[in-house]
Amino acid sequence: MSGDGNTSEGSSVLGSSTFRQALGVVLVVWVLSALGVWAALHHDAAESPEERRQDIQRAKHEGLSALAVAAIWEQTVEKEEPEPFDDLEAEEPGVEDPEEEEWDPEAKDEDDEADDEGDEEGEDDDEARFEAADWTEERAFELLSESDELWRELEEMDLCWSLIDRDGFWRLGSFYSVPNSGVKDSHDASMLLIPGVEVEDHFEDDLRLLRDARSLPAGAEVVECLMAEEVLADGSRLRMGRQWERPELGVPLIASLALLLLALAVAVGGSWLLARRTVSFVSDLRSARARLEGDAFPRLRRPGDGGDFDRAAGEINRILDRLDSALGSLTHVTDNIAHDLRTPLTRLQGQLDVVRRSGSADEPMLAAVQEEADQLVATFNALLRIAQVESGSRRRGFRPFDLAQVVSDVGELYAPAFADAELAFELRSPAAPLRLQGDPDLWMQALSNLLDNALKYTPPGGAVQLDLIPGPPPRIVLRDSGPGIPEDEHGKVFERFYRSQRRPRSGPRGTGLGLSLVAAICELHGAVIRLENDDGLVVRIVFRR
Amino acid sequence: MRIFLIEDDPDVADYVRNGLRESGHTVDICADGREGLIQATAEDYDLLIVDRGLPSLDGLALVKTLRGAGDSTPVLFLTALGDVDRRVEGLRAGGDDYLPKPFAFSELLARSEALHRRRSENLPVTELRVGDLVLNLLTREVQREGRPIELLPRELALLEYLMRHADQVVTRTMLLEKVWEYHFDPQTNVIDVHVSRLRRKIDHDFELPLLHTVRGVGYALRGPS
Repeated sequence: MSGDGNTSEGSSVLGSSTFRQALGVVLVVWVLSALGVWAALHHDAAESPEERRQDIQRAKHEGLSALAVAAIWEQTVEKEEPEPFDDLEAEEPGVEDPEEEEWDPEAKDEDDEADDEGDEEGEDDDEARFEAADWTEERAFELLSESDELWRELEEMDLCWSLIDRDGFWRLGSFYSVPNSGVKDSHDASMLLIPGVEVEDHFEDDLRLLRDARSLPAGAEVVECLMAEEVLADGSRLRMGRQWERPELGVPLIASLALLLLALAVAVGGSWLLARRTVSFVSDLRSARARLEGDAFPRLRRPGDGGDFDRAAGEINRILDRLDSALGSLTHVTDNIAHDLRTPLTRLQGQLDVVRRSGSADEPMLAAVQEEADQLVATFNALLRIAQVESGSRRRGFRPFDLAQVVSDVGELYAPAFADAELAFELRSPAAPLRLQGDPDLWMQALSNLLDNALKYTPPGGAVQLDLIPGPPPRIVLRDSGPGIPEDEHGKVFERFYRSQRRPRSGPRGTGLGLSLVAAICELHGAVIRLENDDGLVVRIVFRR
Repeated sequence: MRIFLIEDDPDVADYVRNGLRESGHTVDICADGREGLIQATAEDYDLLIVDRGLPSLDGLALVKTLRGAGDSTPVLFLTALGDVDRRVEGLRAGGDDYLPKPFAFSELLARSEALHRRRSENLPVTELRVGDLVLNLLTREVQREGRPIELLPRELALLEYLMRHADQVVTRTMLLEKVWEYHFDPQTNVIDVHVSRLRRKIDHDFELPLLHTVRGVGYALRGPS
């Protein structure tokens, strides 16, 4: 029963170290994630000028292909005088200027051609204008559809484009109006969408946003548009825009990503650390088991931090202690049984041999054989009884009983025997019942064994005193005036077949099992038995529950 | 006495049968629970000795069935499982006594004979008489040759048990169980002391001893034959 008090400790989940550590990891991960999300929500759009410039360049290059549109335009719109507009270019001069020079020569070629034709048609300005005004989407589509290649090219470039005639009227393309460019709207501000070319319907806004992108509201989805404009030979303009959504990888965003990554790292690392303790505990178990080959049980190393694993290791070690002592006593008992039963069996064999050789058995000889056999049976019974009590199976027979009654019954049973042995026997037991849960037959057995010993070892003229103290806790104290048991034997006398060096005053030495049974009965009932020497032997049984 | 032994261990069965036969009893043996039940119902026995663990039908169920059918033949249980609650279980099922293995044959014999006598034990009697020793069950007075004998309560209970089983051997264990009502196994001759005190009172001043020691077994109270 010893050690039972420890089992209740640490059963609370909230109090467990594993829970605290896991909670710590989760909290750190949570805080880092929250910081990351906060940073992501509060970042400013921050784009470096260099990035912006590169984007614009790319758009321009892609836009070059659209120059082919100019050819169509020239076929469609009758020759008009070129009249370049510079409005848009002026808006971002620092950015676009260097690039313009690169593709200017190509544009010049086109311009030249347009110029030639423009000269011829100079006079028919009004008519051309009329025709231009008469321009319909359908005609534009017709023209474009004549050149599949061009159409596809435009689609692939993901460009928005439109042609604006030299008077600033929209003629053809995927959007009508571009504000702030001096273009007069030909129809209305709504977009004309060409199938296959996706244009955001808030394109205009985007253009505005493009100009002051740094003032974007927090958390806004950034749609960026870049425009390039080419003045064609007839003075009309080809405008190309490209729009794309792009996450703003500003510093706060990077920081938030870093925080989220850190949170991930903490989660993984924390899990790893927790798992490592489990794994190392399991590997300790495994190596302890591997070392089991010997006869001793190896004990687990305790982390010593008072945590869950420390306690688990402690519990396992306690189980191992118990196993160790059980195995030890088993070996010991087996040895003792072999030794203790061999002697009477040898004697029995000898006696039977004599009977057989003499041819006839006389009564005393048979009685001796019988007695020897009975003694063997008694020893076996005692062994079985101890095993049975130790197995705990008799706990099923527990019931409420009056210990005071048992004590007075055993006293009454032994009083004549003490009187015959010239020992003063005194019994002190409370008149009131002392109710306990247990097995009265076993207590009768235990007290009887103790009184037997007192009877055997106390010299005549001595005194034996049996006290029942109701407590709490209830105690049974048996004192005799005998020689006592040497201190160093106090632990051993409860072992099976252990016989003290002291010799009984009279009678046989007994089976060497009496005190083992007493100890087993005490243990079964959660009672503790202790021996003391105090002018004789004092046996104390203290009931703990 | 006609005894039916239901025991599946052939060695134990032989050992018990031989012993009982030598003591003048007739013994039938059966090794199977179900067959044993049928035979026990069909035949009229004075005593059943039933092992707890039997093939096809265990001893406990066998006795329960038998009792359920109104059969009141005394039953002595034998068992290898000697714990208390098993004994209580056995007695509750209708067993009359209970003997854990290993046992001495003398113990089995004494208990068997005591059980046989039980049938007449419950008859309403007001006094017990063995030879010239008389115990009045109403006044709890003991007399021998008309002279009153003073006995302590426990001595009186002891004497009553011995008188109820007069001419039978009773073992020390039986006395402990029936007179002190404890099931345990004293290591010393503590019962003998009580018996010798009783003997001193009922035999000491009289010519013919009534209370005899049966060596290695127990005691018997015998009147003049």
